Amino acid sequence: MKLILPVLILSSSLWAQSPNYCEVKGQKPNKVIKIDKSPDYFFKASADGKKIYYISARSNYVLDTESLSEGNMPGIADPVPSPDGKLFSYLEPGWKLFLGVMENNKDISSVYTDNETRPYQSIGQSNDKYRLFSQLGTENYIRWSYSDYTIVDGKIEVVKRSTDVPKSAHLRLPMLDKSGKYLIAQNSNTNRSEVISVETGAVIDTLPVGGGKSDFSFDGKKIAFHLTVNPSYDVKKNEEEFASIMRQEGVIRNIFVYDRPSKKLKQVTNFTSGSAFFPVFLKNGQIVYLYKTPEGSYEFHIVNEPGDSLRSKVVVENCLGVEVTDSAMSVLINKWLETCNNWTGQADRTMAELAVLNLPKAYCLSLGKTANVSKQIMEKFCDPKIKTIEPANKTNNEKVLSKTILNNKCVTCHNDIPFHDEKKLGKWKNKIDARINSRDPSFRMPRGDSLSALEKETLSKYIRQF
Amino acid sequence: MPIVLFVLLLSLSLTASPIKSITCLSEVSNTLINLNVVSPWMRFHESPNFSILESKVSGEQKFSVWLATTDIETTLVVNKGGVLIQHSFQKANNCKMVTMVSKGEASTLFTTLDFYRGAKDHSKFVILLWSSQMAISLKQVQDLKDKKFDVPIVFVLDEHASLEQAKEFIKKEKLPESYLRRWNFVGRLPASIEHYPSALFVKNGKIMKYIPGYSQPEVLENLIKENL
Repeated sequence: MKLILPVLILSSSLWAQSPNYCEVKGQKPNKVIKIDKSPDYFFKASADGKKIYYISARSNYVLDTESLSEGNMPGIADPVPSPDGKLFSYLEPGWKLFLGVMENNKDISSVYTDNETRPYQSIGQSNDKYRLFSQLGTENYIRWSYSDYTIVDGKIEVVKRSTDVPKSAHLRLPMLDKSGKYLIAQNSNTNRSEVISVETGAVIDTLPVGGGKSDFSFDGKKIAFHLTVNPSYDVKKNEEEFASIMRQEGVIRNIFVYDRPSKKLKQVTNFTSGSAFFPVFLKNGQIVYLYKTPEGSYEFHIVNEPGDSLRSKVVVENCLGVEVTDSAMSVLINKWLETCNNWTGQADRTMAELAVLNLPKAYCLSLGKTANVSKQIMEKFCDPKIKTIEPANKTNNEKVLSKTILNNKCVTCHNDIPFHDEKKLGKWKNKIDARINSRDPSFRMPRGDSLSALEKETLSKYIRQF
Repeated sequence: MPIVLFVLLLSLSLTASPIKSITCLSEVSNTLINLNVVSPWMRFHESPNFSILESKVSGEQKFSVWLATTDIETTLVVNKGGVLIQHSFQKANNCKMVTMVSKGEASTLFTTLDFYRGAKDHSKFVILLWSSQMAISLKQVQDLKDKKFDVPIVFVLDEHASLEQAKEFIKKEKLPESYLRRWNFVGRLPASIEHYPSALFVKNGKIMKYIPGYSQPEVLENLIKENL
């Protein structure tokens, strides 16, 4: 207590009513299911959310979310149902992958295995064909493969066996989408998640963050994951609440959703204590996640995806241009951090950017006014209708794409190149052009990755203009 | 006026130490004043990328203070009666103080200071984050057991994991208790650090690469060559 007091005194001068734009509210769960066991950080749910399959102390379990009754499932880890709930995969000792036909979302029969060590499995489905993806665990390099199965007369039959997924060596934590056509994985070079084609390995989409093990919605348009960005925290707190912050151990995880068509990153939860982990989409669009309470117990929460009008940085860039957006964003983030978290320092810049992008229009304008950003810019920055505005022209669109490629794929490994300074970038154009078009993986940029033909063409055109 | 003089003296004391520069000096000094740190620094270590200072506080409030500074941040670690409080000041965050309080005994944690102490002793090492609540990370620990690598592998436990389950696991696998030190780091790390297992490749006090996910021993060996 004696130790806490000086910090309290230090903070008291900064204690003031925070502006309304500091409040970032998370979704309240529709349902909270308390569990007695300590679950592993991996679980899946049936499409309707009536069953949750989870691991605890090297055993698989099924939890009925309505009756709250529990039962055993086969295997020691990674219980995964297919999207239609008719196939179930799991791991047995030795990390051998098994498949079973499932009825009533819990009864397993007609078990199949090829006795291979195959962690990181996930299941997609196209009509009556099931695609099971996994990582082979016995090679001296990371190898991913998929097999296709069907169920005939209650038996599992192989349609296509162990086909390799062509991929960058730097992709980790893979997870298949519900159709089995795409994977999401984290690129350890860029620390961003990428959506790739299972059959060609081509990068289809790059997320603005690295979400690690993520989950696709049933229509494939959304991706849910958790991040350890520190939460926003309103300053209107009393001493007791402050003390509760001081008791926290370490970082806090919260749930986020990336909306692929609008390129918006939405914050789903905003816990300031405890942690929310590993979200899973249900067919109706709701999200289930695991929550560890500040007291150390566990709960499954079912929550709606936030429906608030939010803005996308990419769309704002299309409207205002990359430079103006970056400049305004930097000023707004600084002001947000300065006025919202002076005494706790709880939020970081990632959190602050998310908060700024998610502010309702009135609060967004209020922040812009406080930060002395021009009204003309803020009107465009804050207007939620901006999402419907098409890119101004093709040239601007190509510029945004080029900037996005450079920021997402090149900056991390080549921080000596002045990507953000167009005047200086001119001196590097020939080197960059040669590198992005090189076939030599040790020379090619991005390192450990590659660009599509369209990306190369767009980037080359952009670079050559300087 | 006395406070201004005190800050000045403290700043002079810090700058006059063998440390060339302390990132966020003003904010660090203010915090040290609030912690009543007035005695000179006792020990130090200086390398091109980071420096460590250690001190003892005189007077009635006897607690230990360590300071680790790099060109991007300074971390203060205060140990009072086994309770650790870490204050982090990052340039990128305008030197704002981020505080983390840990309930565990210092010896049961892997703090930012432990990271720099490791860097002091080993120019290259790997931190392998594992969790008793992530099945694949148990396989990772089992698969790396008794394997030799060119650099030390430091196993650090997920701060949120069940300690009971972790103890049971290391007892069964006959692994040392050092595997139970919990992750308690306040420095700059990727937002998705909490996936288990994960490997952090450290060279000269800098995290060169963060690679989440399970790696076969042969894969880890290649990653060490590639990243260190």
